[in-house]
Amino acid sequence: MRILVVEDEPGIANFLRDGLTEESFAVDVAENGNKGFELASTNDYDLVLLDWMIPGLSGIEVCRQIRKSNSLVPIIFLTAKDTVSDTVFGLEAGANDYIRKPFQFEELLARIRVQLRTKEGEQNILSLGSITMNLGTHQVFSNSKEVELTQKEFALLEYLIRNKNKVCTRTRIIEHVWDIHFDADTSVIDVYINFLRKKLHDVSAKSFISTVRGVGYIARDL
Amino acid sequence: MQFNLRNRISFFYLVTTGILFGLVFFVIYFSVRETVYRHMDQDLDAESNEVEKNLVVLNDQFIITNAFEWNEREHGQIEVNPVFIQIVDTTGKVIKKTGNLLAGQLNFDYNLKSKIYFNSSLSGSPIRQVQLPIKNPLGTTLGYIVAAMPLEESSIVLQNLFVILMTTYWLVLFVLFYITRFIAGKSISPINKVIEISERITKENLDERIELPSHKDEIYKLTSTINNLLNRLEDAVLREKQFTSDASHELRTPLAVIKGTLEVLIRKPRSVEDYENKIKYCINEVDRMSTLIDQLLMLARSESGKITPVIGMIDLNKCVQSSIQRMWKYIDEKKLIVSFDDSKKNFVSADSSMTETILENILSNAVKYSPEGNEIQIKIDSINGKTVCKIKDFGIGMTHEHTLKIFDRFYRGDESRNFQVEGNGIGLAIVKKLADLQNISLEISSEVGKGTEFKIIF
Repeated sequence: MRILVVEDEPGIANFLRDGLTEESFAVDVAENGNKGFELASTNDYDLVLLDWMIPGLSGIEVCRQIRKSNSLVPIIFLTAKDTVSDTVFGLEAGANDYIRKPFQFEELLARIRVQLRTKEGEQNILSLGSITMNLGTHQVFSNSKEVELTQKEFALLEYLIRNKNKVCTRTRIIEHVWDIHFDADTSVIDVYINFLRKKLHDVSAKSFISTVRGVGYIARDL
Repeated sequence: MQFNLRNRISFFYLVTTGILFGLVFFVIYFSVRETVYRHMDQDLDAESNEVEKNLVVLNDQFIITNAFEWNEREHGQIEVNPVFIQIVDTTGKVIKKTGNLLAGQLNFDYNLKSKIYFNSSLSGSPIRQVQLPIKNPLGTTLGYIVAAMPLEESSIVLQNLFVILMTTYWLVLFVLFYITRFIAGKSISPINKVIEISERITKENLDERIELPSHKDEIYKLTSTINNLLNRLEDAVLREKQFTSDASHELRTPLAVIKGTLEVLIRKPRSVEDYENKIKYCINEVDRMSTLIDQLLMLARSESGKITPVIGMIDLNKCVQSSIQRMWKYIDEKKLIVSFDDSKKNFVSADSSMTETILENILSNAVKYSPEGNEIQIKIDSINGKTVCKIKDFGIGMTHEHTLKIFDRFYRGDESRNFQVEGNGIGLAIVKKLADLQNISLEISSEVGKGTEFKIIF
């Protein structure tokens, strides 16, 4: 899951990037509104964390422009503005949620997960066949046995399961699992798919991640 | 009694018109009375002259030569315009009188030696009377002709006139009082509106303004003056609000950074190096905060007048040098070259510690916005008898509109934000305050990409 953080205060941007990366998110940071909108319109983010008071385009304007471009990406405002009218104003500009500074990092994570839930009312538990992922505790179980995964492996598995029974192209996988600093060599996906298969194949009998030749991968509920 | 403006206006108006109307009515009444009396007096004059013409005095005997005239109708009856004539001798004894006097007799006054008209009465009824001395050719008074006419009708006319005038007077005053009260009320109602709206305006709705009247009169002036006052007040309040909000934002941000960084840090066990880095980072943030708090306190003290400058002759060269020394760490870090010629002595009257703070803040800005290895020039000149200290950098510079706002509290140009230069935008606000306290003026000229020059004029 790839997140765009639009925040001009380097201290806040830094800990957000560190904390979210540890939670297996791919994080890009924009330090002003113009760059924020530019990134949001060129990349396919799963979520945008938007500060209100930033140089260049204000957070509100960035939010409006993103919505104008027909993007439905979940947007969470992060701001020190704390009156009810500010909250209403922010939500009316098209934001999905609003969190006031200073915030608890745990609360921010929980709110991010709420926004990333798919329409079927999924909770923090994702499952694919005998595999279950707990996004809250960052644990993966295969046939009730815990499997240790690295951050990237976890992120890749999460993306595939969220899009299960759909073909995930290499480009889309790169876009959603790796951040902007990653050069577009998609062969790294094959390496990580291999790791995943190995780690999970040890305990499971059937192949659940199939290769779609020349296109990408698909996770199937068997 | 406390009169409001409306009643006061109508009262004064009423008193003035009351006096004027009184005068006019007085003139009307007395001129009418005079006219009436004059007409009567003319008639009496004609009658008495006629009697005198027809009177012959022979051996102290008064003889009427024209009996026909004496016995005229007006002398015989009392119903229609009677004229009473009576002839008396010098002792006041009635020698002869007209028939209409019947048993009565006209009053005679010994003291009246010449022809005088006066009001008197005949058996209870008012009359107008004249007394004409009868003289022989030698000028000796032999007796008097007393002529009179009833005043009754004229006095009724005059009395009616008086009553009418008096009634009208009070009626007019009464009506006028209410009319002026109404008009005064109407003309001061815009003032009431001004009062009503002004009373309603508090800190919460300071953006409300009083509607300007259509006529450019005094009320218009009053209203626009109050509106201007409100504009200035609103500006001040907004600036204060902005300051409070900026101050809380600036204080909260390092707190949020520290909190967030530490929260992320303790989520997982980490290497000692990681801990050290993050803790150092947090200490840095705490330092940033305490600098800000110190500066805010200094600003607050200088604004509330709690610190007063101790003005004396100070060595400006020494101040410049000590501020360079204090900034040396940062100057050295960026390998900047600071040029300053201290061969000439420069003494100015100012507060030395305040002047050092001013120099240090301006120098610190020059350092912040200068690219590595650049030059900063400090020069002290004498211009028009004033000592001017110039601090010039060749850094990023700023637009003219930014130079106008640079002394505002918490103002930071987009340039400084974009270049990620550390700072809180409070240093120059302090500089301005301290300069104001010592009557030092500041000038700034800057060009984007070329650099900035500050002039401190003592």
